Amino acid sequence: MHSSAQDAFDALSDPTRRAILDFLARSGEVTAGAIADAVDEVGRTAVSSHLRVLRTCGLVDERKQGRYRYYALAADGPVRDALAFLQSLLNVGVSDAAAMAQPAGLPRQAGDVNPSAAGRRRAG
Amino acid sequence: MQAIALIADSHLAVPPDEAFWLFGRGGQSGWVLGAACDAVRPGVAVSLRLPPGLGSPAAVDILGRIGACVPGRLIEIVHDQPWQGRLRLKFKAAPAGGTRFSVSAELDSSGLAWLMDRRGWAPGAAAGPGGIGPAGADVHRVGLLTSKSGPGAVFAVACDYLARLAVEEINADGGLHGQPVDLVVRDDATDAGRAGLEAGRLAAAGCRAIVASVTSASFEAARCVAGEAGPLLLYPLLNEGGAAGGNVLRWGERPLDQVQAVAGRMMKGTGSRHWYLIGNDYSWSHGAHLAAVQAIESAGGQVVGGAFTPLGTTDFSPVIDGIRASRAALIVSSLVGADEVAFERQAWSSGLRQNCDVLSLALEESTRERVGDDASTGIWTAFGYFEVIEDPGNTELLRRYRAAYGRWAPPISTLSESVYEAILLYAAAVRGAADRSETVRRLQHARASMPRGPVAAAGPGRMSQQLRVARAVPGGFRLVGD
Repeated sequence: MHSSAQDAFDALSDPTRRAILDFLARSGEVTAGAIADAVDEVGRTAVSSHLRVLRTCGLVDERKQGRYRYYALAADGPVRDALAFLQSLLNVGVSDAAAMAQPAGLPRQAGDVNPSAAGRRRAG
Repeated sequence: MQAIALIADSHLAVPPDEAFWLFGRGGQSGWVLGAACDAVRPGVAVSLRLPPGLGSPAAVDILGRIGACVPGRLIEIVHDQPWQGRLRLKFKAAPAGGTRFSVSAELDSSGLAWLMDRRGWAPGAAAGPGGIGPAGADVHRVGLLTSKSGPGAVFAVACDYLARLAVEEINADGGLHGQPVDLVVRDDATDAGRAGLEAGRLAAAGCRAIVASVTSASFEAARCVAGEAGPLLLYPLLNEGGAAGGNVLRWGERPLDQVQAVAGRMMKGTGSRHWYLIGNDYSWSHGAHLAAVQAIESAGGQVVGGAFTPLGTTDFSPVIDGIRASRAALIVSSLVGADEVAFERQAWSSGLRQNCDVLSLALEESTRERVGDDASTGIWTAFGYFEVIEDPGNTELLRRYRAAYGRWAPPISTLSESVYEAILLYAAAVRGAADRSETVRRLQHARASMPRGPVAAAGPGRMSQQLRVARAVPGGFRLVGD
C-alpha cells in the first residue's frame, strides 16, 4: 500500500488531471465525453488514460450503466490519501529504524542513518 | 468509524532486547520516528517526529506518554497531539536471528480529519468524518481554535479535551435555548496566518462563538479575520493584554501580576538583584518583558539583559551564553511551549541553573512535564490555577476528566481549565440573554465559582482571579504560601 501515496502525488502533479478533478468536483457524475468537452487541455483519447490513473490511485470512481461509464470524485478519495500518507510515514520510520539498529561493536557516527554511506565517509 | 489501525514492519539486525533499549534516545536521529523520552516506563512523556516532505511542509510532532511497556517486547504510546491515538511498537525474535519489528498507529475520525487537513483537503468539501459540515438549523455551534501542532501543541494539549467536557456538561443540562452545543475544533498549527484562515472557516461554518487556546499572535489574526460582526471571540489564556470590547473578551492572567507576585521573594531568596529576560519574538513576550521590567524595578531589582528568539527556536546556546555574560542570577522566561521546553532543558544541562533561579511565565503542567523533573525542579511560576489546587470543584473536575480521558491523559493546567471555564461562562451568558448584545454584556460582567475559585469579569479585557505562586517539583507543582 505504501506506493499509493506516491501514486496520488503523481496523479495530482499533472495539470490536466487537476483540471479533470476540478471539473468533477463541480459537476458530480459525468461521462468521459463530457469531461473531454469541458476540459480544454484534453482530447477524447487522452481522457481515458488520465481517468485510469485517477481511478488507480483512488481519486475517481467509475460506474458502468449499459454502454455508458460515469465518473465522479471518489467519495473516500481524500480519506484514502490521508491514510496512505500516514502509512508512508510509518514505512519510512520502520525502515530507518532498521538501518539505524546496528549490532554493538560496529562503530557508529552520530547522525548515521545508512551504514553504507558511513562507509563512504570514512573512506573519503 | 471507531478507529483505523495502520501497520508497518521491518527486520532489525539486533535481538529484541537490544532493539528495545534503543528507544527514546532522542535528538534529530532518535531511533524510530525520532522518539525522545527521559525513561522507558509507563507515564513518561514521549515525543516523536514524523519527518517533513512527502506531502507535509513541516515536521509533525506526536506528543504523548508511554502507556505500557514490556521490556524486550512492547512499547505502547498513548498520544494526544496532533490527534488522539495510540502507537504500538512490537519486538519479536526473528527465526533466523534479529528482530521482527512492527509499528501500528491507531487513529479515530478526528485524527483522520486532521491528516486530511494536513494533506490540503478542504474541510467539509471532502465530506469525510470530522470535516466541517454545514451546521444544522437546530444546533448552537461553538468553535475552539487551538494548537494541535507546532510549538504550541505542548501547552494547548488538553484544551480540546476540557472544551468537550464543558460542552457535555452544557448539553446534559439541556443545551442552550433548547439547542445542543456542537463543538468544532480547528488547529492553527501555532501559526498566525493559519489561525486567521481557521477563524474564517469557523465563522463561515456558523460558529456563534470561538474560544481560542492559541498564542496571542494567532488570536490577533483570528480577531482581524472574524471581524466585529462575526462570532464572539473569547481569549481565556494568560496573555499580555490587548484589544478587547465589542465581540472580543480577553481574560486570563497578566504578566505584570505574575512577576509582581514572585520577583521580591526570588530576590530575597538569592540575595541577587540582577535579572535577564528571555522570550519569544512576538507580542506576548514583548508585552511580558515590559511588564517584567516594571515589576522588577518596583521591587528594587535591575534588568541587565534580555533577548527575543523566534517561535520555533530549538538551540538556546547563544541565549545561555548571553545570560552567563550578563552575570544575571535571576531569569524571567516568557518562552512558550516547545521553545520553553528546549530552553529549560538546555539551561539545566549546561549548568546555568546552578547559578540562576528562573521565573517562567508559561510553565504550566504540560510544559513542565516535557521539561522533565530534573530540569524543571525549582522553577517558579504564578497562575490562577494549578492541578493540585484543593477545591471541591477542582476535585470533581479532575474526577470527570480522568473518567473521560483515562489515566494517561495529559495534566490539566490553567490554560485548559480556562477553556473549560470560558465555555461554561459563555453558556451561562447565553441562557440568560435574549440576544447577542445582551450575551456580550453578561459576559463582560460574568461572575462564577470555578475550579480555580471565584472569578469575576471586570469589563471585556479583565478577569479577576486569585493568583497562586508555585515552584516546580518532581511530578508537578508545590504551591508556595505568602
